[in-house]
Amino acid sequence: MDPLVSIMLCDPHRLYQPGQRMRCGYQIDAIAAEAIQAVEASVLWITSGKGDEDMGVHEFHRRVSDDENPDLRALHEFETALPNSPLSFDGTILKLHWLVRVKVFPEKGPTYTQDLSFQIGTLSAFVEEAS
Amino acid sequence: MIHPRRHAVNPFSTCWIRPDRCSYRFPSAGQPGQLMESLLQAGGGQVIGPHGVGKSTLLFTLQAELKKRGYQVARIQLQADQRHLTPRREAKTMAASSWLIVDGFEQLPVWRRWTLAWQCRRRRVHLLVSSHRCHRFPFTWRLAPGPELACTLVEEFQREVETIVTPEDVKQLFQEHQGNIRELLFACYDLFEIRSRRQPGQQH
Repeated sequence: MDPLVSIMLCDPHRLYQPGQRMRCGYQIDAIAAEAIQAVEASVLWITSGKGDEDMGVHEFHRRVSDDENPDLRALHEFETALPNSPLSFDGTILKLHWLVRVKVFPEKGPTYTQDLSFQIGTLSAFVEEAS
Repeated sequence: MIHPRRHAVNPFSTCWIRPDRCSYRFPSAGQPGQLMESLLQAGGGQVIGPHGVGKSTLLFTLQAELKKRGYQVARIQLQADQRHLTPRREAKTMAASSWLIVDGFEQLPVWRRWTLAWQCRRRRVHLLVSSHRCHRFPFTWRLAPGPELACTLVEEFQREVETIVTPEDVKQLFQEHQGNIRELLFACYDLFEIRSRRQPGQQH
């Protein structure tokens, strides 16, 4: 059975402005504490569409199970200042998505990944209005 | 497990249709086993066909199958005009009975193709290549997908979303792109974008 990862953002609409501070939290369930080797959380953008894919990592944290952090399942929060660019974009040929990605590395078995998308800016709406 | 690229809503986005992200769809159920057995029996071979018919996808599928069977496999992707790359160096370092896969074999000049094949034979490395042209290999698999296969493929890509590209569209696109499945899938991407962006209530 896959672990259950809940990702929460401070803004329920998940809409942020460039440069704004974003607070994020995540919690892991349905897995024993001792079965988790490490947890990685990142704030990143990724492109999708018709051409080659690209990605950029804005923020990255890795926590390992040790004496200081015996239980990585508990709610963990972090804060980051979002960059001024690139902005979220939903174009026809190219789309740019911002995500909070949490990766759980179990002691045994495959890595589990959970994403939560959010938006920076309102570039798509602006482009649609202009066209 | 949730797929890391679930945010890519268009099922014809590159992240879904890339040769290393999807498996090759054979026209009939018995073909994968038949191809694998023939390939193992011959100890190497070539996959030939025109642009965009799925040669690279088939090579990725065969690579995974060979690895599953315990073989050491190395893959070299040759792009257009990469005539100076020397895959035979790879062959020199590989253990006997391993497999070397060269995608785009026709990019190499004749003498490089010959020396690579010779190097592989000498080291008992199995050579599997894809090419637009037929070369001298003990086993040849020709790819020529038809419109039915293209329809099945498009249907499978749209399995988790609303069907926006219909079999009639696929048949028309198949003719337009003269059997080039890659170009057909790019056209499906455009069609999906145009139709899914229309206001609700509008006819497709």
